[in-house]
Amino acid sequence: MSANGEFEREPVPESALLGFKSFPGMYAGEHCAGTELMIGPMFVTHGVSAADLVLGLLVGNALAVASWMLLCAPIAVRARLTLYYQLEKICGRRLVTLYNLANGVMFCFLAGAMITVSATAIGVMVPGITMPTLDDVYPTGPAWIIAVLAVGVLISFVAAYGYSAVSKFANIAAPWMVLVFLAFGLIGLREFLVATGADIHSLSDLWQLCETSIWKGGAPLEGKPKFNFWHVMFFAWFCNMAMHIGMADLSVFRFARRSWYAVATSAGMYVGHFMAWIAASILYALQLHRDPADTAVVPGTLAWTACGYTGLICVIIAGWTTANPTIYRAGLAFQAIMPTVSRYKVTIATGLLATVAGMFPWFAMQLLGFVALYGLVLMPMGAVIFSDFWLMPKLGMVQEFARRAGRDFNIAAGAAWILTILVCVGVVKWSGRDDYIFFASLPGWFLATAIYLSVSKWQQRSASLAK
Amino acid sequence: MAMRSIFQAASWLALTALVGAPLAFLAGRIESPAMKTWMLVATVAWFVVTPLWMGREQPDESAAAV
Repeated sequence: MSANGEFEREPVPESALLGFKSFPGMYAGEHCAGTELMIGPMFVTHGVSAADLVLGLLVGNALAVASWMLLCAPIAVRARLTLYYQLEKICGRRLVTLYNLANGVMFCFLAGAMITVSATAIGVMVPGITMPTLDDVYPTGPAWIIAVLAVGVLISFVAAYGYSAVSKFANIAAPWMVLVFLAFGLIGLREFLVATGADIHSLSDLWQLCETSIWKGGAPLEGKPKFNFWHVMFFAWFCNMAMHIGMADLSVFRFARRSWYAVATSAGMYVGHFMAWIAASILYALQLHRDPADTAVVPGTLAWTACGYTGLICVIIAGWTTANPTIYRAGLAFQAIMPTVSRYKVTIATGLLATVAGMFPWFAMQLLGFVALYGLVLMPMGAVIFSDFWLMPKLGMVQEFARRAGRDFNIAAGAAWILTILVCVGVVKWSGRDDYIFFASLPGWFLATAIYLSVSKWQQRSASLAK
Repeated sequence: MAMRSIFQAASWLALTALVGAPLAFLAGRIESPAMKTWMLVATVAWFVVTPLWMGREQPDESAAAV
């Protein structure tokens, strides 16, 4: 909806508004991605129990949907502006440029993880490629580098020259992909029944299998912190934090007639971040059940074992169709910094950077932590937009300070952004528990709000402001 | 319009087979190799037929009537 650059610097007009049915399909497809095949198994590696996983995902996803409905969409349907334009009016052009840089870099690494996922499918088909293991940081060998390079270069050129064609293809693939993820779960369940000899006659029998064989809740794998309900809940809530609390989806919901349309995000959450994660984690738990020493999280192998060629096609398409818009968005973010360079060149360069990142399995293998960091880095600007839109008028301060004061760098917004990240990351590092990053963003949001409002109060005393 | 309906029906049939095969496998009605074959056939059918109707503009009926 926004990829074609419509209404980039003006409110979306009434004639361009969209009905509710435009949103559920988009969210269901977008959140059923290749990375779900990495995230689901990660819960198993952290020794999560069945109750903690199911309840954590139910509650966390509900909170994510509520964040879209209560924080993001109400502003989107009132202002009807893109995130970038809204931020520019509040923060000024130079600060938005810095934000774009951070956003672009994060998108690059995320796309790199998606390329890694797709390359694991190539690894299944082509002998001689050493697949990465859970603790791998560096490329596993020349064959792996070539596989990632082949996938990454292809995705980069397609993102630059055939973005709209891949978007159409992604729309066609989405319903099929959702059902293949469902099939992963059904097949994994059957294989578990065969492997354990369990007999299922009721939901209570099924739950017992889940508790005793699939998500046993015992010790995590070596070197991994133990996860409980709170880890799962906060991860499910905040893994798309950049989109809801971080306000990136202002650009999407500015087209919605009503703010309640954001309930459509539940299609993405409960299909992608509930069903798909559970299905992928069943496949990985099955792999561990068959060989406890085989701890590698390799989506290609998991999908191949379950569904054969259909599974491999799913891994390639899921990685490709999600890496494509991610690279495209990263390219747009970088192009805003270098407006004189053509979008094609920037997108290809961005894709190649993502490809290099994809050669390092670390980004994919540490995806839970990386996604939490991604949300944390972009969240403070969401708090700035929320404060500026709702709280500043109530506190007698003026909104859109950069525009009114003719500034290109709003110190209050810059301080809220940088200080919040420094404090949150500092506290996590000081605690010595990297998994605390899942919990840092909630107090971080209040901290960002407090910093923005207090520095704004000081800043606005001396500034001369236009209407 | 008739062709469009036929293509849509074929797509839905492909999706039904795609999820029906693993359901039959879960119920112990078919073995893994047969399930994988059915899923692959359904996948090919979906990607061949669906682009023929999904995302394409529906013909304007008033124009077609002329």
